[in-house]
Amino acid sequence: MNKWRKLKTGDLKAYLSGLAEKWELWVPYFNDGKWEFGPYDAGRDIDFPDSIINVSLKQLFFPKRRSIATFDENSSWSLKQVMPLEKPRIIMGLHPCDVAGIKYMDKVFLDSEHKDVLYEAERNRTILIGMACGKMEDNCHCTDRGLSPDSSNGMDVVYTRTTGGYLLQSMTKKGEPLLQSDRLKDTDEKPVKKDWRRGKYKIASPEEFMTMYDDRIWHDLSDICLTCGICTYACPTCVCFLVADEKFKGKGERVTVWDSCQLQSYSRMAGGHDTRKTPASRVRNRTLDKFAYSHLRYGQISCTGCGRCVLVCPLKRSFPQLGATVTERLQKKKEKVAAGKEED
Amino acid sequence: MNEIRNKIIELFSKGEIDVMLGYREDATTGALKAAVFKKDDTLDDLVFDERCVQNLVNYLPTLTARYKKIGIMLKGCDGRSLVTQLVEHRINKNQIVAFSIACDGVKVGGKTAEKCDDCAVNISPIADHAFGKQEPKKVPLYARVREIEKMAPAERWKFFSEYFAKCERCYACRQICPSCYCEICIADQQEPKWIEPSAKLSANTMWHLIRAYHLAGRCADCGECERVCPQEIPMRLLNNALEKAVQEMFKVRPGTVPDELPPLVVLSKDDPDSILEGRNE
Repeated sequence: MNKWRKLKTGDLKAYLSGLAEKWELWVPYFNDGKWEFGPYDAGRDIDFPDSIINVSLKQLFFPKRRSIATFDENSSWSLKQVMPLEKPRIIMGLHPCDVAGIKYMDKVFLDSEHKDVLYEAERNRTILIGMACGKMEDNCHCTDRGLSPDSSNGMDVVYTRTTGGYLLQSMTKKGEPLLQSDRLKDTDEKPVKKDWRRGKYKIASPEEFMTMYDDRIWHDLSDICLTCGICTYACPTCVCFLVADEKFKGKGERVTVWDSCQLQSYSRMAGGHDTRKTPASRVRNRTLDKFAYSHLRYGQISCTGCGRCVLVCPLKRSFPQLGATVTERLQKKKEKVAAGKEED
Repeated sequence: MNEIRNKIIELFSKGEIDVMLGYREDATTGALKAAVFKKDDTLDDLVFDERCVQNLVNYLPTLTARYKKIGIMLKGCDGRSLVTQLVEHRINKNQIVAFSIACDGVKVGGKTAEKCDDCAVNISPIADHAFGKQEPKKVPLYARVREIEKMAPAERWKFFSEYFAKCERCYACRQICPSCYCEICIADQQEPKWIEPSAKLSANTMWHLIRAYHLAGRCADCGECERVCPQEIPMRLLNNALEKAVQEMFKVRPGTVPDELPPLVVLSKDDPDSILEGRNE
């Protein structure tokens, strides 16, 4: 185990500016009422949110719109691959649930037959500096999803607030060079372990969830869902995309654009058949994807418990609550079957 | 409120409605949400107050496919969007039981909603059961539109393009709009692809302009598109600008008169021909 090192609050900016000289540095900024990652700007004050950053980390590895190839008239429209970036970068201020999201995306994009080279390059060039959460928001439920607000799993460097400054520790080889700074002093201080809230949303096992596929509950749960796509865009583990060619004045790009299973057009096939025509079928797809399908395909449920879907929902509906409601019904069904009564 | 509850219970017991579309207050969080009440559900948490911003008419096309008879709580603006859906034959009046409740204006984030300043009528033009009194009709001021009209074109473009650039294309505006009910939206069409799916300024601008144009003469100004937008794009401005133009040309406010067809689908000899006037020269 590496030692903890201390950085005084007054030295924070000098330390970050030092990092920004060698690396492309991204830090959280508070813009228009929400936290989002932005390129480090020495002229702006730095602060770190104690809990989630509104815009998920997904955006920095797999942006909304991403050019994968270009073509133009002069070269008879032949495709030229977009070269991945190599400049090393640091992303600072992310939280355990962000890292969990990235690790899930690794499974989708890297551990599959067709590797996503652009994503891989973004991953390889990035050093993650994660911060232990100071508190859990109302919508946070990572403790129920097998994570912890102060977990350092997957981070290269972890830091936490302490009186008069920050405590930093490198977790991987990649993170070590970041702590080679005169601003950091060795210390015997250790972060205080906290007891975190648990059991807010109880979710059944993936196998149990699969038995709910044909239940009528999906209709009730989707009654008021608008089936817009914002929850999937905010979700750190929703990775669906579509590929489109965009042409303008003799030049063109092939792009990947985020797509969403909640939208009407997503499941429409050639000939017009739609496998998920009703809102109920789309809500079911997203719920089962988060709590069951992901486990069956990648061995890990994909809800990280960050609660962003609740924050962005136009109707402020709670997605984890939806999972909990399904679980409740499942339990009731089981009890009925055990008591020898027929299912309703 | 009890009057409304009793009426609903009465209609349920007579079998005149299968479900009731209303607003439910969450007992633990106090949050207010749209809800579908069924026959045996308690109506204790059914509420109607200034927090009932959401326009429930949006749910009717989906719900009418599932239930035979639907009761719905309507404010003035909601009633106007119901008129639009009915005259366009999107839903059948036989399936709807309209509860018109007089509205004193709704609040968003503690403040009276902007749309209420330009409210045409505080009760629904369609009412099977009416509660509360109608207030005199108001003349809309379109204060925000007039401000934009004063800007120079370049300034206006800057104003809107900054917002459009932020659009994420989640289509929450389309999904909550009671008048956006196409089976296949123009934004989802593949052949021809009218609007590029990617979230970039040119495609976003295309989406927002087409969305607004498709609502010209139909939008009842319920303001839901703007309220639900996660990026706070002022979509009502575009709707209002077109509403104002329609009103000046055709003297029609969409949805205020039951059975009146939207002006852009009617050809009448009284139609203004200001567009053609320049052609005579």
